Amino acid sequence: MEQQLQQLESAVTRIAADQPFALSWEIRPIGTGEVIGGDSTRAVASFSTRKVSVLLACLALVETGELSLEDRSVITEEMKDGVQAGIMRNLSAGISLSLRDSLVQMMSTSDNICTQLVFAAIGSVRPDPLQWVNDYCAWMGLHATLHREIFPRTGDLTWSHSLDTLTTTTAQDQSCLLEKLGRGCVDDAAAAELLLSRELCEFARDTMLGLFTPALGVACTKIRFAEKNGRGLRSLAQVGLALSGAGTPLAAVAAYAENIPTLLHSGVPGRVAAFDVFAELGLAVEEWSRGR
Amino acid sequence: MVAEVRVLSLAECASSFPALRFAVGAVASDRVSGTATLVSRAEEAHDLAGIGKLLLGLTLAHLGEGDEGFLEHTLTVTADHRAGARTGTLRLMSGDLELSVEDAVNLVFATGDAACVLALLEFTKSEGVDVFAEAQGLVDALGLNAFQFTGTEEDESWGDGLLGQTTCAETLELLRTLVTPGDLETAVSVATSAPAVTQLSVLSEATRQRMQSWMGRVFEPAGLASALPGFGPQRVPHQTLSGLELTARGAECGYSSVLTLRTETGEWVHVAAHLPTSSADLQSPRDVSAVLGTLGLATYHFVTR
Repeated sequence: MEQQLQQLESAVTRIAADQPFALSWEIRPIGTGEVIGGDSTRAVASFSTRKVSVLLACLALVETGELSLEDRSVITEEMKDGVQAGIMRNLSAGISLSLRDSLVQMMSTSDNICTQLVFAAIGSVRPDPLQWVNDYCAWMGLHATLHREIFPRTGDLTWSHSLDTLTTTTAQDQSCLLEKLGRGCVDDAAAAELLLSRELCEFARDTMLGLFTPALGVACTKIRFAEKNGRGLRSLAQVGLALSGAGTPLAAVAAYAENIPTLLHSGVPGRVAAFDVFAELGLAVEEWSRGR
Repeated sequence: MVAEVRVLSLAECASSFPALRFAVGAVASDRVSGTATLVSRAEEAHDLAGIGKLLLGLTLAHLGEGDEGFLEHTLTVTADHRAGARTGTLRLMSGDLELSVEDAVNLVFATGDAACVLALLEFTKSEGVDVFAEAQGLVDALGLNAFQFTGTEEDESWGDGLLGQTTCAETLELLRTLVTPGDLETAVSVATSAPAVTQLSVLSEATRQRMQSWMGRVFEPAGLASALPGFGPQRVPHQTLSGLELTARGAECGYSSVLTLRTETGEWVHVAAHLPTSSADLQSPRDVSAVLGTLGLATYHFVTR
């Protein structure tokens, strides 16, 4: 392992050790086969980080020509039921969106009305859209990831909820998928491994560059992150693809903070500390990238 | 290292962040306003810097009072609007999007959506409405003389719509005018002074309720509300606005933020703040949120003590 990567591993291990919550994480430099991580096989609730795989599974059907990014769907009042995430729930029913724009909103604001539209699109060409996404994950080697719902009704959950009915994954699975995506953005053969074209990989990356509330890249100035968040009750997650200033994929990053106390001893909400950790993690990756 | 949210009193916020301007006050002013430690540099003028949208929404809601159906009009967010938008998520989308005026304002408050701002400004112009003049006339009618508008966003928008200056003290007064009669009954039971009758008569109850609704739906706020207690969807009830924390515009003109919280007695407490860019070592949006989040958390502890 290169020295800089060892230093990154040490830095993130220190960051993780200093927290009053568990942090499982994994970082994979793109295309080198190297991996560093901590507790990265711990099963965690994915919350909205699962949408990276939903996005790619949907795009695989665009690649086959069965779906088109220009297909349109209409938001109905019923779709708002139980939705906590996103912006469409506060707007009037009847808004018409293309599949492209539904995917963009699903990734940007984690909009769960748009997530329903995406699953409905998949369901228009596959009998069981959830199974399609699970099959896609299995084909991609995400053997610890199980999609169990179209979207989680987080408003019904307590802090100590069970994982039994939720989509679960690991930091290892998510960094594996993002590493493939990073390679797929620059290499046709790697894109084909994801059942996508290079252009669709780039589209996926670009939707992740539009995340409304970036966390890994929020403090970075030399690199950017195409990222996706996951917001649970006791857990917060951030996964992303680190990109150079010129857009070259550098590393896949996945971090899951678990059992975050509602309040720190200081009186600061625990979730604030988790966001600080994600920002520190992004800065550590930026520092690593400068030394390569 | 990123800056961290701290647990401070309001007085400590003033001393720890000397460049930070803020004013904290209740619906009825006696409880807190006039107490020097709850106001810091609140009379100093600053760019609207994120709260122009508050006046844009208020102006449109007020126009809706005199024109039934105004807020239900449909407008189209087009590629031209998206091209000029620097904030929000609709600029990332590809096709034209039809929204009601009310929904567009909702997105402006919730996400600072600049494409919606440009669509709203175009729509009002097509209706023969001069938003700039209407907004200035409204704040004049409300007696909020520190609000001085210099124009509207035209080809490029950062989600504010209206450009100009104000003070934190005056923004606090504006927030106080947004109380509903029900809130006011609670307020006068705990204090002796309240928003002037003339202020309350300018805005209808429907407008004030609409403003509260819009401010109660802000998507993942980064300013004063960023560090309020809560987890997942279970957050302390509050009203706020989407700010400029994540934008290059903020680095030019500073970061304004507003917050309204409810006390255990049912009283609303408001905060108006502005963090100048020259104020501290603001390296990233996290640093901005650390300062404003600390003030918001201090206010929460103040109202719940």
